[in-house]
Amino acid sequence: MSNSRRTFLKKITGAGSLLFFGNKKSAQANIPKVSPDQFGVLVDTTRCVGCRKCEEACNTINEDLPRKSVSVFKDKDVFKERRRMDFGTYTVVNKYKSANVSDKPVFAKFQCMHCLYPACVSACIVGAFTRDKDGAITYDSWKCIGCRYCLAACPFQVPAYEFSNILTPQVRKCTFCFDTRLVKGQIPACVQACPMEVMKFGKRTDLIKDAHENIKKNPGRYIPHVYGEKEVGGTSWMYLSNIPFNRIDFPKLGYHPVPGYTEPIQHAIFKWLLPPLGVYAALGGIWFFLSSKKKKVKKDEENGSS
Amino acid sequence: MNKKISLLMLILFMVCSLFFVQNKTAHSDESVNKADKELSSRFITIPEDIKTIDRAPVKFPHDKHTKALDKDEEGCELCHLKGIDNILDFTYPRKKADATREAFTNSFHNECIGCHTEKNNEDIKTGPLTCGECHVIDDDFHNNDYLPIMPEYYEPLRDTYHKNCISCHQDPAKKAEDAGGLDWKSFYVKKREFIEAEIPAVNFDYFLHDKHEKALDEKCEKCHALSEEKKSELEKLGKEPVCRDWLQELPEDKSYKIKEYAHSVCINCHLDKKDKNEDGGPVYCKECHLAEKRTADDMLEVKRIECEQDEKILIKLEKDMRMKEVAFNHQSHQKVTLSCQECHHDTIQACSVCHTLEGSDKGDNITLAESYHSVSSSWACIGCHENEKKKSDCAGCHNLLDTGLLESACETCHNGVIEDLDKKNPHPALEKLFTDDIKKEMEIDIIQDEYELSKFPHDKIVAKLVEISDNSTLASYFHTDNMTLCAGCHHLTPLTAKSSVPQCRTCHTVRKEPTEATPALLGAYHQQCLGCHIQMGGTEEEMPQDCAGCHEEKK
Amino acid sequence: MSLHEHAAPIENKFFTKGMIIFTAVMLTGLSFGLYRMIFGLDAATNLNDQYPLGLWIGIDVATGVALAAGGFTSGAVVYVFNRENFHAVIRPALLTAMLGYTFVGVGLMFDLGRWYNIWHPAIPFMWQGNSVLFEVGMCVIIYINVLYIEFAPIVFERFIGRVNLPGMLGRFNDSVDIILRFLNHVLSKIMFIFIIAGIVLSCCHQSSLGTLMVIAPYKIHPIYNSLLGPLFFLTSAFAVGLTMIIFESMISCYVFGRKPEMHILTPLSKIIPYVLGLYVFVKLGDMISRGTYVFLFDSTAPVIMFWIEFGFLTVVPFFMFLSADVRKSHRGLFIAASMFVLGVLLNRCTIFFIAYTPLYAAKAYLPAFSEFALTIGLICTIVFVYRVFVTIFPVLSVPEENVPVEQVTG
Repeated sequence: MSNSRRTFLKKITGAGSLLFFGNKKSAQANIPKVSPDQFGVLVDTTRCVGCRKCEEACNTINEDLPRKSVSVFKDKDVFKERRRMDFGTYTVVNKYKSANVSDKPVFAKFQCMHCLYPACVSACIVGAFTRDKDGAITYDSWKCIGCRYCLAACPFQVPAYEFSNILTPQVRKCTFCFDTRLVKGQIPACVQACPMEVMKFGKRTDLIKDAHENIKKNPGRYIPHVYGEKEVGGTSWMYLSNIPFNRIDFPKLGYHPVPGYTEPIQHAIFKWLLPPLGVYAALGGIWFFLSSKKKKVKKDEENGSS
Repeated sequence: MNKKISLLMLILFMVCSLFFVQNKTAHSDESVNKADKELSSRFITIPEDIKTIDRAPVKFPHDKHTKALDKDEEGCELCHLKGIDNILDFTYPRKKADATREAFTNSFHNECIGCHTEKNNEDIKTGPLTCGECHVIDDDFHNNDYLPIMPEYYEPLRDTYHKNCISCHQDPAKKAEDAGGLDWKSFYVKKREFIEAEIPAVNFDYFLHDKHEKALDEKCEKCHALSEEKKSELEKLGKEPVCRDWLQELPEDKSYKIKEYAHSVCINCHLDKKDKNEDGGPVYCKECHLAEKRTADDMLEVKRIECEQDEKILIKLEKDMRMKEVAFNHQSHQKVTLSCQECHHDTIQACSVCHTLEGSDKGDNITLAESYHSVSSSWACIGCHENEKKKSDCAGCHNLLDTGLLESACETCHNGVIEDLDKKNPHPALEKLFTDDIKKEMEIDIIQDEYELSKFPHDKIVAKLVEISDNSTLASYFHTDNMTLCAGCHHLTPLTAKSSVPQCRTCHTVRKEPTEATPALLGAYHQQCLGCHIQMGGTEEEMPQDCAGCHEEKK
Repeated sequence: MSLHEHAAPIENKFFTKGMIIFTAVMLTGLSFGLYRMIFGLDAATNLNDQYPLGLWIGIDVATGVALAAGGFTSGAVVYVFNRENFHAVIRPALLTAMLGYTFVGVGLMFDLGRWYNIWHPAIPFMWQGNSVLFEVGMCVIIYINVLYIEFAPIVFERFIGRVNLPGMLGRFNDSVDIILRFLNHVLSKIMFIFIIAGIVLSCCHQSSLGTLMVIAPYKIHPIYNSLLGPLFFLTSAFAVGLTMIIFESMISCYVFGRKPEMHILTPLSKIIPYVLGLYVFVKLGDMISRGTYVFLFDSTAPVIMFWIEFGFLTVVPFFMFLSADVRKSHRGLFIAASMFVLGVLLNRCTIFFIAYTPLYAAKAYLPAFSEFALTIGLICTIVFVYRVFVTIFPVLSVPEENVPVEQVTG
């Protein structure tokens, strides 16, 4: 009978946890605190002329990227196709047609958006991605196991993977020049290199204010929307544009942070491991109940037959 | 028993898979008239009270039919009835009284398919006979924002629609700024709406008007109408009607904006002439509805309409005008517009007649001040001037300058003196502009990193700007001071100081601070110089847009 | 556990014609695995930045976990819900589950870019509690160990009283025997802890696999993009667990020339409509409440896959299992079971790389030949190892008619 006694004990100790089983209060996502002083970059795509100096500067400052000669960045033929970042390129500039044929072409620069509520940070199984309080999202390749869940999770499809690297593949994306420049008090290399000052680096809240002021001061020059101000909870890199954002390959996203979909589910199911313990206790209780009932029936039969 | 169930399930599966097959064939209908991407192919308008349609709207290639039936005896009359006065009624279907769905559909099916069948029987090359060949679902159907109606004919929306639209609307917090909740019915409605492809409106400019005037021997009544009151009023005064009288009170149903009225008046006359084998006007759609417009330059020689208008006017309020009156050169404005309508909408009247101080219904509730000063509307003075500033000759400077109402410019218009309109103030010769201390060619060598110093042809740039300004009436009127042009680059500096204009690097520092609101020197040079070159879009020699064009690379 | 005296190692010949073929395919597949290890992911797969998760995640990991659900479902049915008449299926189900999860681990090693770091999630310093994948990983690691523990009595049963260490180690036979007996005794007392733990752990990670793609709502087709993803995966796991028991039992009976144990399988299959019906109900209910049924007549790949894996390979088996005639017929039961197993496989694949539309893909993802080869090779490896185990250990129950087992080819 020790089996059933053990089960019974388990049931009693777990009974308390059953009270918490239906607890729905744990639905709050574990959102990292966003510092109000964090940095941001405002990109004014109406100024970009497609000179690709930002790409060149990025390649120069990041020494672990494969070296590209300067002539690569002077090639205008690359604009024939729409490029995306890959394992050797943290940022790309693409060319788009404007709404009216006679208008000048529109150029837009892509890189990691350094979201306020990053999907990659939430998705990574070993925590290889961290979000610095200044806003930069950095990657620690030492922890990475190469599962590529972050690639699937990113709503902007930013991270690139070194599929061709056999032994030590890494996830590659813009680091906001965190280690190379931000910690030294300098601005990111691409921001510095741009001759047209397309990008403005500063406090994110200030930049948002500036952006809205710019829109008001220049009616008709910008679409009255700052992309990245609220998309997926807000991103550090924000954009102004003259043509609709989906026409310059920015996905139309909602304002709810992406981890806000999975984390409430996970936290509700696993809050302090109580729901699993509750299930555990419930199963134990059922087992005990059914087996003791059967034994009782058997006992009755034996008694009855004897 | 299990065999029966399995069989049932198999049949169910096959039935379901038929849906895919059907969808696929709707796709692959090859008989789409690909050649008919012409202007005159438009979707047939379905009357408002027919709420649902079972098939895709039909794109009707009108000109194709006109061409084909040219040699036919009946010609246009095959489809368009002759009404009273033997005038062809260019509406279709003919029996407008029958607005029921069945009558509407039958009017097309009986006529169209009937005619095609007839011609087919006579072995003449003719149009489609089957449903799917007219009711085509193709790219135009998608691009025209048709809302799908019934599942069978609903083409699969591209994944982007669903990915973008529904994923945003699906936001659990439902707080996405301009997104509604996920009520799928709001996407798929039974009521059909569609936005027609814009067919270019007929631009009846001065050139055409002049042509018609000559052809019709200045008989305005052929096209224009006078109200009875106006007729009697003029008779009393013993005057002949002038153009202003014809257009001052336009009855609503006689507006050339109404398709039926315009077609009735224009095409009937043209057809008439054609029948008499005289030189008439166009009969085909795209010959009037041209995509390209004539420019003001094309019409420099064309005579403007005689309307007893004053050449120069002083625009003022009747009473209580505190600012000086505005001197307005009507004649020179006539030279740069394409038609009277560009400013005067449909009628030839003073702006203040409909646009009252407080705004009235006649003037669409636009107040008088707004009608002159609106920055965004091309009907208004300021708005039109803003558009002019966006042209490539002007945009080089004006792209970076403040737009809209500038306090400094009020006096330029509100000067109260009509004679000022004749004033011309061209820039003095370059030698006078460039004194000894202003260099003609400069070397910018302050920030040299990857490139050598830049040779800056100051005199050439000023010469070009002066040329542009002096050649434009608008520019030379508003560039009141000889030095105004200099402000295009030397902004925020006292221009009378001339040679003591501060260097760019004084305010636009070399060192870039993260929180600096003014661009650093690198940004300032490129935004100013390169920005201007891009806006003005000149040749590579004149206005290089390539790095090496302004400064050579360092070896 | 007196009922297990009916289980014994099989006596069929090992290298039958079929087994030779399986062994050949296994070796070929594993050689492609070696190819991946030597030449990298780029050479061995069609994965790219737009499609990071492909066939190996869809089948090896996701389907592997789903189809190994027989272990915990049988445990739940037999132990927790006290249906001791199904005892005979426990051991084969357990073996399938154990091998299945091992296959998941091995398959994952091939897919990971840095497979040598696979132990990282076990280090507390690298725990990232917000990640769904973390929870899946932790549960699977613990659960594999639970499975090994649950399988241990079978190993003990094989060796207790027959310990025969080779050569010099023979002197330890008795001590090993005593240790084994002790362990067996202890385990038999505390096994219930692991059985219940196994069920709870399985529920946790089966559902979390469904939460995985909830993090990419903008890339998953609306029909599959539901916050109830975990519930779908969980209910389908319950259903496919019981179905796999039937499926695998009938296959082994066919292969080893035994009559299918309909006296167990038929009553077992009676439970299936309830759990499968629950899955169908929640899936359809979700579709109706979110209004995503409007997509049902598109002819895009995700919708076509939905019709196949759900409309045909889930709903049809549901109706089949409902029918008593099907449940009594071994052919009907096998067809229904195979259909649903295939349906679950396609369901997992669809969610990970068919209904997944990345933002900037130039073309859709089609797995490379080596991906198929390794997956099939690994499946054949499971079959091979399964065969090894049932030959060595008392897993399969002895047929009741006591007819000597014939040497059947196949």
